[in-house]
Order: sequence, then structure tokens, then C-alpha cells
Amino acid sequence: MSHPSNDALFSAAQGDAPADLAAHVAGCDACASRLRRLRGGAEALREAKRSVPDISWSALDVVMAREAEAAAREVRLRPASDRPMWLRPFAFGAGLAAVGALAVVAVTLRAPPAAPPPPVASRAVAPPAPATPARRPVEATVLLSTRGALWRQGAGGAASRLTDGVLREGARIETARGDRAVLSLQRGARMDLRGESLASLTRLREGSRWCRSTAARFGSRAAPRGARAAIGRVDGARRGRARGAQRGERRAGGAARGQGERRARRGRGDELLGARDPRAPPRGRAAGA
Amino acid sequence: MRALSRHEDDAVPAYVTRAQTGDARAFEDIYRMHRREVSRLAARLLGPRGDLEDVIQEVFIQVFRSLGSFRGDSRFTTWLHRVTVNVTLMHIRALRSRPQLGNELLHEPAAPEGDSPIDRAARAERLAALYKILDTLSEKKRAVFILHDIEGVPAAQVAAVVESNVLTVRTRLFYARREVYAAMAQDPTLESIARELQAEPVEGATP
Repeated sequence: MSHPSNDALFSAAQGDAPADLAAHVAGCDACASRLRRLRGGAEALREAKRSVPDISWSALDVVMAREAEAAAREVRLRPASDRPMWLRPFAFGAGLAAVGALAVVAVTLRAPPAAPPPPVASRAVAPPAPATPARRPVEATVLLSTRGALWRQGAGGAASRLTDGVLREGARIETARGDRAVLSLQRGARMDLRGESLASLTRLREGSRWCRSTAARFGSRAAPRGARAAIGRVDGARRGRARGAQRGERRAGGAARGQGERRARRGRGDELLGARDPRAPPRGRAAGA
Repeated sequence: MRALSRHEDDAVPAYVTRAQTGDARAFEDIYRMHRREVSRLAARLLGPRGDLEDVIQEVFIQVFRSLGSFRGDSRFTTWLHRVTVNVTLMHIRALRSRPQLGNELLHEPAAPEGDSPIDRAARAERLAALYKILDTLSEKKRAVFILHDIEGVPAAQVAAVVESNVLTVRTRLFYARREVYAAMAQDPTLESIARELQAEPVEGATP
């Protein structure tokens, strides 16, 4: 008999070995060794099937209860629309074109005969009215905060402990080493501030991308597709402090801390919003119903 | 087929419909009713590394945000498992792009009653050996192998979860098994595991 395949040996490792295979393995050291390894592998697979994750649900339950509230509020605030997401820009464009066409027709039909234009010198030059679209003030709901997380209204306000509630535009949040604060922002974004972070709630210009800072993860957690207008700013977040290095501080100790600090020295300064990692996976793939 | 069958009878459960209308209690119900199966699937996909609690949180946040787009074209549990698989794979991708800080185990399976530290260490060693091999598989093969051969989901449902057809799932499974068995046959760590298992005293036997 030629050497049996790994498939056949794996079946044998699980118990059902035909007689000819058993006879071959008894006389072939290489196959006997493979069979032993596959037996170990089969046991490892059984172990994986048996294993149940050990999770402390209490902390997660608290965070998820608040996330549930925030999600429900977001649903209630969202305007009802059955139109698919991809059609919305077209529908908006079509509406705009229709209004424009109507305006042109109305002006053409109703305009009085054109009078001779006044001399250029006497013509009043009115500055164009600035386009100021109505906007919702920035708000954030506190989902989670540890003891040392503080907030103040504006740069000069008195610092208070960050507890449950809603923060308004201009609020500044600070976390000390080892602290954490998670805030739910508008448009489904979240601000997750790890230790030694400083963030302020302010509206950035349209088109700004989400910050992928690591000392403060801001909006990087599955921001919804199209949620580009950033709300908030993270100051002085140490760019080079990778999450791995942070985790290293907590779990592995000194070597990782050294690495994080070396990177921090290179990238110190105000966090550049728009620094989304180009290698990061595209958003919105996770939910495809 | 434990994971997907629990809520099979109800393709779109009432609490999902309520959550879609903005009922906060219904969102909590989704989390409470599905957290165990999500955690088990995420743990199996993730292996003994990675921050499992972070992944579970991420899965449910993604579910809460995307619930409006769930139209009931597939069963809710299938959709939920799809989100779990995608979020976990994204987490694994992110883990790979970060610097590795050694083979630290970030979460361990729950230990059965009366389990000794030696048993626990042996169990962790077996799992580490298995996931070292599974890490060599491509993402697609890994997901199919874990869903089918570890989680016990039938091929048709695996196809629905990974948004593919049954034939493709079976092909991926065939190649995944071939690669896993070949890697196992080459891994001396597994030989020592098999030896230890043989050497374990039989229950009731005198030492």
C-alpha cells in the first residue's frame, strides 16, 4: 500500500481506521508520526468546538444598554424615507434641476422689458448674501466615563467630573492616564477617548475625515457610510501611540511602552484630522443585508 | 448546527421590528438574546488572541446602526452572523497590521468546574496550536472552515452567511481542510499533544 493521504489519516485519527491503513501505519514510521500529529490536531479541533469564551458581561451590558438608547434615539430622529441610499444624491440633484428650470421659466415669462442699464459708476454693488445653511448644534451623549474623566464648557470653564448626560458644542473632555470616556455623537459617530486625551466638541468643515488617533479613537468605530462631516476635535493626541503599544502598556509592559513613546516623540502635536489610514478596510462592509 | 437554529422559526423577530421603529428596549433585547452566540462565533473566528469584548461590542454597534437596512431578505440570525463574521475578520486584519507583541493570549476559554491549572494550560496550548495553523489560511477559507467544521453550521447556511453559493463553500472547505491537515501533519507540537493525551491516566485507574 502506498502512503495514505492526510485526509485518510485524519479520518483514522478520529477513530475509523480501515484495516489496511492500520497495517500500513504499524509498519511505516513516517505515517505513524503523521497520524500522531493529526490525532493531536483532531483533539485541538475538538477543544475548539468545546470551548466557551469567558466574558465578564456586566461591564459590556452597561455600555450596550447606553448604545441601545443612543441607537434608538438616532432611529427616532432619522427622517423616514423608503428611498434607497444610492438614489438620494440623484433625487436631490433632480429636485434642484427642477427648481432651477421652474425659476428660469418664471423669470422669462414675468420679466418686464429690459430697461437700459444705468451707468456703471452709479450701480450699487450689493455683496452676495453669505450662504449659511441651518445646522444642528453639536451634541454628545456620555456612554461611558471612568473616575478621572473631566469636562469643561469652553477652554476657560471650570472642570467637572464627566458623568451621564448630554454635552453641548464647545465642551472639552479630558482623560487622565488609564481613564476612558466614550461619547455618542450625531450621525452615529462615536468618540472613544483613551488615557491622556483632550477633545473638544466643535464642528469641522464638511469633508473632513474621521480621526484615527489611537490615544483617542474618534469616530473610527464603524462610522456610517457618508458620515464625513466630522464633529469634534482631538487636541494633542499622540499620533504615534499605536493601539498595539497601548495594549502593550496594559498587558506586556516596558518594551511596548518604549516603542509607543518613541513614536509619540516623532508625531507629537495636534492631531491631524483626515489622517485616516489608507490601508484601513473600507467602511460599511460589515452590514450587508 | 447549534448557532443558527435557536431563532430559526422567526425570520424577523418582533423585537427587530420594534427596534426598527426606535424602541430602545428592543435594541437591548437584540443584544441580550444574541450575545452568547455572537460571542461564541467571534471567539472561534478570533482564536485566543484579540480583544473579544471589543469585537462583541463592535458587532452590536454595527448591528444597531445597520438595522434600518435589514429588510428581512434573509433570516435575522443569518444577517447577524454575517455582521459578526465581517466585523471579526476586520478586527483580525487590523491585528495583523499592528506590531506583534509576542504570543500573548488575550482571552481564554471558560474553565470547566474542577479544572486544574495544568489542564487549563494544556487546553490553551491545543487552541494556540490550532489557531497558529488556521492563521495560515486565507480569510475566506478560514471563515468557511470555522463556521462549518467548528461551529457546525450546514453548508447552505454558511453560503448565506458568507454571501456565496453552496458549491463555492464546499470548494473552499475542501481546500481549507487539505491545507489544515497538511499543516497538522507537519506540526511537531501536535505530536506532543497526542502523546500527552495518550499518557493521561484513565479515570478510575490506580496510579
